[in-house]
Amino acid sequence: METILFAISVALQPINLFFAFIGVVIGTLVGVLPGIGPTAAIALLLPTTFRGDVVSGLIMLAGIFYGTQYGGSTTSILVNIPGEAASVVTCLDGYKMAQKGRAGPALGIAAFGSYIAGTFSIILLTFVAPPLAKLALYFGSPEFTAMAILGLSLLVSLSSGSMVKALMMAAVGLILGVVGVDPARGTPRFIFGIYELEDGIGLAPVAMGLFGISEVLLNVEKSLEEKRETLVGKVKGLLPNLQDWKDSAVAITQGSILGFLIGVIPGGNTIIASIASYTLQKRISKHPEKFGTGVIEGVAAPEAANNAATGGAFIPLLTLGIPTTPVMALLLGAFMIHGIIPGPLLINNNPDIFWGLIFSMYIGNIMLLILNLPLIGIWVKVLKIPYGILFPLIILFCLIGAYTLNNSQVEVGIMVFFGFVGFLMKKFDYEPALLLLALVMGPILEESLRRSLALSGGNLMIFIHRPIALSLLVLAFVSLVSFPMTRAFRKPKIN
Amino acid sequence: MKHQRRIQKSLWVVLGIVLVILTADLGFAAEKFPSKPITLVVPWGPGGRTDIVARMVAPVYEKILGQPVVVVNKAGASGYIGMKSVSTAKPDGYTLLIAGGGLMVLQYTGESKIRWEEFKWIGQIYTAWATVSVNAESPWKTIEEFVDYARKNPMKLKHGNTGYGGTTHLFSEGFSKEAGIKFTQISYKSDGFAATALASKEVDVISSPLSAVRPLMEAGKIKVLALQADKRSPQFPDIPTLKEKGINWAAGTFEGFTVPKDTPDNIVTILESALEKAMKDPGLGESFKKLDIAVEYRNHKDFTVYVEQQDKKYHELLKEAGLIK
Repeated sequence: METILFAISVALQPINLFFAFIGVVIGTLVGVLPGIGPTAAIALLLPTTFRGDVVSGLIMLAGIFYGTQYGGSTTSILVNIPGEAASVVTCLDGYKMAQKGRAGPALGIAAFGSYIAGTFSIILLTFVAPPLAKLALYFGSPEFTAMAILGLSLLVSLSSGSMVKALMMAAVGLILGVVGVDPARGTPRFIFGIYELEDGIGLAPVAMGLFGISEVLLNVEKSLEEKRETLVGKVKGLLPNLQDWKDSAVAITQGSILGFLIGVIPGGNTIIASIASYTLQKRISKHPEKFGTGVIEGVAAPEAANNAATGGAFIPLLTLGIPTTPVMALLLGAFMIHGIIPGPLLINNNPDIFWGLIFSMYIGNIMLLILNLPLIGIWVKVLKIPYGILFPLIILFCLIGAYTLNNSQVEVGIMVFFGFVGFLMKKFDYEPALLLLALVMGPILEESLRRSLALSGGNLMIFIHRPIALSLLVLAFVSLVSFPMTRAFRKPKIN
Repeated sequence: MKHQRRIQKSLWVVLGIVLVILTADLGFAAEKFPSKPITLVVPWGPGGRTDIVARMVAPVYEKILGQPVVVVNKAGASGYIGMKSVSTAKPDGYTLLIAGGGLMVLQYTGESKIRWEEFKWIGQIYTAWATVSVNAESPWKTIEEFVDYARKNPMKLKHGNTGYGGTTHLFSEGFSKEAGIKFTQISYKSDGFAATALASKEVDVISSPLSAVRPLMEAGKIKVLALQADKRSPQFPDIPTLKEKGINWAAGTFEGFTVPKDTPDNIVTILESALEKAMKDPGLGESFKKLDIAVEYRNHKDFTVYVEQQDKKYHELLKEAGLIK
């Protein structure tokens, strides 16, 4: 009780409230703007925390991290451009809802779902952090491998169209993932002398190209055929209604739990959390065939999951000093510059930092909800902007976003290239989300697979002997096999 | 006519003023360095050890130089992008790079080539000594027991390095050579991931510096059997060094400030003496201590010699380990 009061007092200090607010505002902006994601934003702002108070600095950086998960869904829903990678899945149903004039409820359920899941994950973080921390140590390279394979197998169920086309997209994504320096031997591959490609093909420019630029091209073509001035005819409702809430209740609940657990695991992250939750929702749904056409559960599940994952991701860092994601590695740096080493001694040595940071997240989530709900009205108006103005703006933001990632023209080139590729993909009915998510998973899979085999001396039994890895692989197999079967089973029903 | 002459006259006045300003500026620049903010390039992302060190030194350094020192991160391609941006920068002393061990390795691995001779090495700042760290539940209590076991079981023990052909890979190879042992190498992305792998018993030993293993050491998951250092750490005086135990090997990541090679000597001297003063700052020493890295200053002359020696050492190690031909 005393510690809780202490935490509240630290988090409620005006200066810390102020920094939490700044953090969530920046986070929302970063989430909304295409290109720049939480990692890049925190990297940019990390140095500003080096000279100030450590608690305030961490509160702000953490605010950016979970704030982006709120903002990221906005552009996914409105214009089919994921504001950051964890919102790719949200595009599938969110954008379809917007096209039906239901952008308001989609944005609303994203905000409420994010709030509920975010708060849920912080409650768990508060009470069960130390025992869950050990989970991180059970996840080695074979488990990472199995996790990536499971993620890939789930991808297929994201697609609502042809299975062959879905597999093709996943394969292309994996192939693109091998560009860059070989993770085990350090040899550059397929970089054609462009040394910017040594770190691989960037996720953000590909996402902006495949989704943003291609969407603009597609709409330009469409507006040549039919006379339309704006994206959406009429807008129905601003907030989710009772039926929407009923439809989303299960999605938000499972998204919160699943997202949190995946967040704790090293190698699991907000992206995998959103995919897994969407897939699960589709599986347990009574009408899986409607997914991808604009159902509200398809927005609620991934949005809840990616927010819950942010809370989970803090556990290994705060309790063991292990950064499991790039964002956590940056936060570790923020600790270290002040001479504080996060780990098991943090709670005892620096309770003000530990509890102050955690409690600030409760407040930050409330701030985000208050911030995001009134914004819905404004965002929905974006859809009323005439094409002639909206599209050049989207292209402008994408170009700036791609360039500022590394101040390099290479990224801009990648984005434009994938813009045209994405245009063709959409014309021929290929799902760009699959390509993108396979591109995320490919390097994780390659690195951990090769490391696992190095560890076992090339023996594949390493995946069989480890219970967690084995069960994840079995799950992946089941999900892959059951998918076409359930589909075949369901088809006559629909007809 | 009169009007034209007036314009002409005022043009001459303007030209005169411009000339005065230009020459004044030139004279000023030649006389006094620095007269504008200095950029310090970190060739990696923020939050890492190099970045933290740069940001700790920068405020002390700018107080002595009397001009702001702005830290800029230029990450990518194993540091190549940032390093090359400095080696090809205007050699006027206003663009500095913090570099060392990482650059030594990059000279020989990967496709992007850079040479240490492309820089003038102003002064060394620190060394983060490598360790010999094992899982806390492992049977070895001392470094002797560990080496003994490793000698009897070549290639059985797995060493978690931070990149194939990277610094910790080379350190472990050097240690192995001197101790007459051999590890199987497993590559990780960073010290943090290697330390986690050690704590979960995926690998048996890592060479990451104290700063990287300390959180898990405090968690009771990792124990440090020895330092690959010249002398013991003041924070952990109980940990012996390899040299004490008869293994003639010391290695660590070192870093210092550099400028493009054509930078005039008088500017290098100014930057060098300012760095020397900065490194004597007691507050800085205290901050370094918290990070478990040792202040290790070498001046321009010594540092250049040291870098040349290290270059040979790294090159030899890379060759012996079969990483390059």
